[in-house]
Amino acid sequence: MAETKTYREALREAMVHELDRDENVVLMGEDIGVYGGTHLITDGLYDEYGPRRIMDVPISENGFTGAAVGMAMMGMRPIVEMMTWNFSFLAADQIIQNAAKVRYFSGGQVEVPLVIRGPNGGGVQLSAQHTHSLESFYGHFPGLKVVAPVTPNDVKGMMLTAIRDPNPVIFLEAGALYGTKGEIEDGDNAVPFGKARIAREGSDVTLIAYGRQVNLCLRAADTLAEDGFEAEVIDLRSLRPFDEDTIVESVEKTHRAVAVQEQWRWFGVASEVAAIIQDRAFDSLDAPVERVSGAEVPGPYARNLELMAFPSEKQVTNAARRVLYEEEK
Amino acid sequence: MPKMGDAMEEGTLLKWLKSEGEEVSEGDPIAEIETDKVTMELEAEDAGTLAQLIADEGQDVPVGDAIAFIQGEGEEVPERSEGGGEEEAEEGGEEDGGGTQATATETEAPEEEEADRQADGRADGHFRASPIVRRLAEENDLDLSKIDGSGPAGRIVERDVRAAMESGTAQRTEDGAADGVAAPEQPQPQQAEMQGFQPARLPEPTEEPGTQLVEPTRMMQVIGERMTEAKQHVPHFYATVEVRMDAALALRKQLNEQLEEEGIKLSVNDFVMKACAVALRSYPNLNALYTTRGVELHEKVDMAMAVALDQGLITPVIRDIGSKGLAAISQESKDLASRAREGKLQPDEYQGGTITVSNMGMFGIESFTAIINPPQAAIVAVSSIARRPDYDENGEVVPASIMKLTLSADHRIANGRDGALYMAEVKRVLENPVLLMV
Repeated sequence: MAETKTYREALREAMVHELDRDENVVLMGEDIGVYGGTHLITDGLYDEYGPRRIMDVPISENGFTGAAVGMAMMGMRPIVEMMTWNFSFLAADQIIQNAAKVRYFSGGQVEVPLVIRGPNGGGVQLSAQHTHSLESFYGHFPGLKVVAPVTPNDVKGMMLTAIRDPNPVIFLEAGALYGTKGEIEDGDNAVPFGKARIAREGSDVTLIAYGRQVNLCLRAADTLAEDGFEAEVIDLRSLRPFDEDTIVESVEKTHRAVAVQEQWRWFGVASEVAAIIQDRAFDSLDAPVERVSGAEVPGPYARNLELMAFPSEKQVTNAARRVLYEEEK
Repeated sequence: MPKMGDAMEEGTLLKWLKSEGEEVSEGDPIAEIETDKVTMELEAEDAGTLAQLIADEGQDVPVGDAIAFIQGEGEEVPERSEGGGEEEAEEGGEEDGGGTQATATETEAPEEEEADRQADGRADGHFRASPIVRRLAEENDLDLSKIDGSGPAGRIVERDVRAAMESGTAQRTEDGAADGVAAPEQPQPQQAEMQGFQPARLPEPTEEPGTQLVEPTRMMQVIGERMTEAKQHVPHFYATVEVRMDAALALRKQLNEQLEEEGIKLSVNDFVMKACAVALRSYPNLNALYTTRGVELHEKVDMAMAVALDQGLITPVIRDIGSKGLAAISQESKDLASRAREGKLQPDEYQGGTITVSNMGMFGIESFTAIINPPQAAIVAVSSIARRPDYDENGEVVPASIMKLTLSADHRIANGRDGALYMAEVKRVLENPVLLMV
């Protein structure tokens, strides 16, 4: 029985599901308790579960993340909220040096079942220091799992999987989409990691994205359909582990691909996608893989500039037209 | 398969001289290899057990591919795999020396790989086409040269191929098939285009009674290819002179009487070769190679001499013939010719000449023209000496020994006047044979 809920509600529903199921699950973060969370993700949970499980922490990212790593090592399942992922730079040492490495250092004896979650990316005029997409940053380090769901159903299902995973999971939320609605499955709809989602089927060109760029690609696909080109849209949703097969199978069908990301072009996920396609689907390609990325500038504050700095529907449709050898519009 | 000459790309394994499982020592002949030039015995590069004969007798093997595995102490015989020859060869080459395979040396391998890549690229390399287009063309037997590309810089893209498949305009089949006559196998059109000419259309064999179909030997194939290329690509011109050989024959007789005790017998061809070399001193531009970066003039004359074999022809080289006397030339030419007929020449003995002399005088030929042996600039065709009446300086008819020499020269390197003056000089030297001594 599917029900329509917001991204925010879906996220909360997943955490509640696990708070009820496993007493080792605890939430930590700045202002997540009494205040209900800056983005109201944890609104109401403090009243229900109390300060022992819904913990307000000081403004000290490296400190409370380190504490969470220690708790996870001892068998707890902490879920740490970064008010935004931009603040995680302060905790990068704990995340990269400890969370990602302890299992390896201990020869597998010590697991770190930790979820770090928060809004990723820009789009809401938070300016340069608060406009980062950190998937390729965290995706670079072996030992971390990185996911970026875009639909309410996936955000719930992937949060369930993240909490149950015995390894640290970087949970990148589409912060600009907390209010968007979608159908979510009732109960335990755990979505496995490492499996991409085909958001739209098509036969002429494959658009590959994750996070809120998936929605951009779906709009671009509608525009392309007006010209008679059916785009397949793939939502990667899990960046590490990565689902190569779904991309390769799609490109074997469509022969053309455009990879879209909000982050900057260099060393980004789209580059990885392009490399995988040329590696595994070379003989199916009819055109070089196109990448659409953010502009090579720190995130601008001004609305008009911010819009120009992120991939636009027009950029995506034109990239698709280029790989289709059609005139750009 | 070792590389036995610069131009060698593959060799035929004629015969195994050792059997599988036999012990071999370093230097033992293990197989007979036929290249485009010679038949040679292949010696074991190392000692061990001849554990595996990979190539079959009669098989053509690309240079660098493994033909056998010699198992050293403590080595394991690699598993046979289709097309895995090169990898195996490399592994073998990197062993600690306890054993090795009979393969080309490592230094030659990269060159060979380069050649392979070029050969692959030739198949469709000069078309811009997307990967899926190449695959579709392969699967559907399409000729990409018949498809116009609509992509950037004329790239053939999928929609172009789909359109061609629908209209059926790019099938690779020959027109002749429609007449019920099977088309003969021809090089790919694009290959022919690269070579700059369309080979003549070959007829099917008649297979009538009284006919016999003979497959050309490898050597004949190579000679055929090289001569075709020379005739197609090198603009030949010809110049013939008549030489009075009486003085040269008299000198030859005199010298041979003196040298008899030493067992040396000078041939007419020795005189001609020496004369051709001496004359090059005045016309050095005919002692040249036509190269990628211009005409390379050579100071020393490395004289190639054509030697007829039962199954073909080979041109062993007398190095720096200009500095050698007639006796030395005679001995060297006899040695090279006899070893050529036995198939015992080493590659460096028949490669790298700067000019060629071809002599058919022993067959009673009045005159003939020869095909230039690229990249050389010239070849001199030597005919028989005929006794004929001739005028002396007083206008009296006298008997004379006349020999015709015909120069074939590359017009890209020399002009007619150079060729004419050169042949006049050869004639002058032979008619005044003391000049051969200076």
